[in-house]
Amino acid sequence: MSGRKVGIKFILSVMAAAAIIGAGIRYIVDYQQQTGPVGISGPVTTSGTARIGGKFSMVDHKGRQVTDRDFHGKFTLIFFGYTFCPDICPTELQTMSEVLDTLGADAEKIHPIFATIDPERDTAPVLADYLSNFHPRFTGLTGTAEQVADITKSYGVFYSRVKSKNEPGQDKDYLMNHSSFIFLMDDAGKFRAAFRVGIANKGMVRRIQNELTKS
Amino acid sequence: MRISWVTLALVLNTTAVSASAAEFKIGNLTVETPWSRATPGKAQSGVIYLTISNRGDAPDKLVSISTPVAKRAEIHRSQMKDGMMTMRPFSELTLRPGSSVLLRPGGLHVMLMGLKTPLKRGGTFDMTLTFENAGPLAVKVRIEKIGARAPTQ
Repeated sequence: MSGRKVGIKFILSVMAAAAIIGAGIRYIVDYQQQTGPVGISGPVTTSGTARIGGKFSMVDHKGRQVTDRDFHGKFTLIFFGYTFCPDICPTELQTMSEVLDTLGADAEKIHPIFATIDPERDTAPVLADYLSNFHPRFTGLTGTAEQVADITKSYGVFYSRVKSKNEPGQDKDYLMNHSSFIFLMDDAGKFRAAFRVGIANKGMVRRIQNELTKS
Repeated sequence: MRISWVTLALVLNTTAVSASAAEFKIGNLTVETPWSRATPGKAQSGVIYLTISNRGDAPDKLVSISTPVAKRAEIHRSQMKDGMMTMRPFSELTLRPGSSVLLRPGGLHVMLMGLKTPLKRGGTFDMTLTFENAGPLAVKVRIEKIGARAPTQ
């Protein structure tokens, strides 16, 4: 993989994503600041400002080619992160695992997904190894740099590699900045809610239960 | 008889406190409950949380961290800004007199990079914190489960 080329492509895709989805995400952030840790509710979807989600083609943690259609028929709870992150990402996956446990039988109606924003390090086997520590029903998604750029663009997720001052040989230890939301999509792949990082399980469980009964 | 019961109660109380929280001291600095999270087999990174209190009159600084389980250990802060999660390294951590610095999930933490061995839940490992004035302090870090939000002890 040529770093420069990917870098330019990446910047372009981030700019494109910003142009297309920026307004929607800004709305989400504003909305969250007003409402606290409750997640995004109806107004976002009904206002038509947020077009979150859409078609994607990725590789799952078992190395299989998958598309968004493979996840239709159930709700998805999708979080974008990277396994090298030892602080926030495991906390969020733990939260998602606990939410699924709390949902009980309703958890069967949900595909939990961890999608990487760091495909260079997060290969399918790395994701499989990582996810074996969380809820057994998690699917990991990775892919080429382009595939990851595409799915993040459709979800309005931004990410960037932090410039490192590492010495040669330590360049595998880079950090990533990334948007941190957990998205709830319905059985047809339509956006239902976004939860910000750090949200309490209770609020998330309640919201998911509400959305499931609406379907 | 009554006095000895009081004495016994005090002794028991002290024992209970020291057993419930691991404490490491050097000079006026106290490091409490250093804990880590278990890592998957192929993990290259890890994390450590702890609380450092400065009970002295002068400031000190945490200037370096080392552990045999990783090539590098740095202080980082996770920060959420406009929906973006960022991680930023700190070259040193200032410890003001009479105050405590909390390293806990979602904020300040010690980031381990170049992990040499997977961290197994329930185990412990060594870490040395070096302070500008107080000098080096060896502590034991307890390993909790992977997404733990707080130490179990």
